[in-house]
Amino acid sequence: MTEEGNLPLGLDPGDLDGHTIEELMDYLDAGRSPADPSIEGAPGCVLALDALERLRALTPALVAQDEAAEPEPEASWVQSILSGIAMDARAGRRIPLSDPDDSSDLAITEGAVRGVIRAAENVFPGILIGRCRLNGDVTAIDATVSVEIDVSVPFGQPIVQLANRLRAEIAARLRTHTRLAVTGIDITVHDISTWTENTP
Amino acid sequence: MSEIVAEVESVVLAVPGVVGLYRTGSAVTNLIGAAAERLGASADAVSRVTVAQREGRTEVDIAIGVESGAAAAETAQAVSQRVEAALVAQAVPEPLIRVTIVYVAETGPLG
Repeated sequence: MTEEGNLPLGLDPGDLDGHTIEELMDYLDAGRSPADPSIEGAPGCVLALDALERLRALTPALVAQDEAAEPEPEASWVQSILSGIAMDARAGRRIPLSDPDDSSDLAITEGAVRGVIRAAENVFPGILIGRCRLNGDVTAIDATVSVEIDVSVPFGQPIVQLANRLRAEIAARLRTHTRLAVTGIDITVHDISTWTENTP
Repeated sequence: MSEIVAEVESVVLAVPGVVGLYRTGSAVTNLIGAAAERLGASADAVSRVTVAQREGRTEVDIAIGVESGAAAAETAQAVSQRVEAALVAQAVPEPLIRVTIVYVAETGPLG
């Protein structure tokens, strides 16, 4: 296990092909230029960059509000989301897309699937997915699995309806890109932010 | 072997829906590859495709990113079929092709 305190955000740099989440944020600050092939060629980094870009779009106002509400947070929700991004970007298990007797061996990584789930943030402005888990033996063909995600939702929107819409979006994405038989998508709301459509 | 790798890379990148090739292999292998790139090796010098001979059979490992607009399995299948055709054309009999999708790029609404 990684010892927190020795590494940024308590993460093993190996999770991001030798890069840290801070390096990726600096890279985003630089506009991903000059292009760094050690980052752009690493799927974990690219997955994390996508999630960080979405987070960046919401972060300035949210961080200010977060800090105003909790002047000295022990571990802010932004930090926990950053941690989730890096952890979820790991390749993880190989999820089959082809049958064992097919001539081709086709699969998608667990990390890519988590990226597909996380990208549902694009459809629901203000929602941030903090952590995503696939429960079940995803390495079996047509495996039965359940999904658990932690989210932050914007204040003022009916949580149950929002969760139902998010659940439907995630289910559609999983149907398109995997053969997993999803039995349930559990959504836990961990934070309510004051983000609105008009948040600068 | 390098000609085969170059051919496979070219074929894969030409498949509609493929957004890129990524490093295959273990985290350790990838760390070494990433370090080599940071030390100045070009992206081309660090192969994105692994070709190996095992028990007389050619095995090809490919890690790709795909667009979200099409089903991942269909894009992976197209990659596999085109690579197989290219290898057979180069007199590589019955290659075992392993395609892994490691990244799905958002490209607009599904469907």
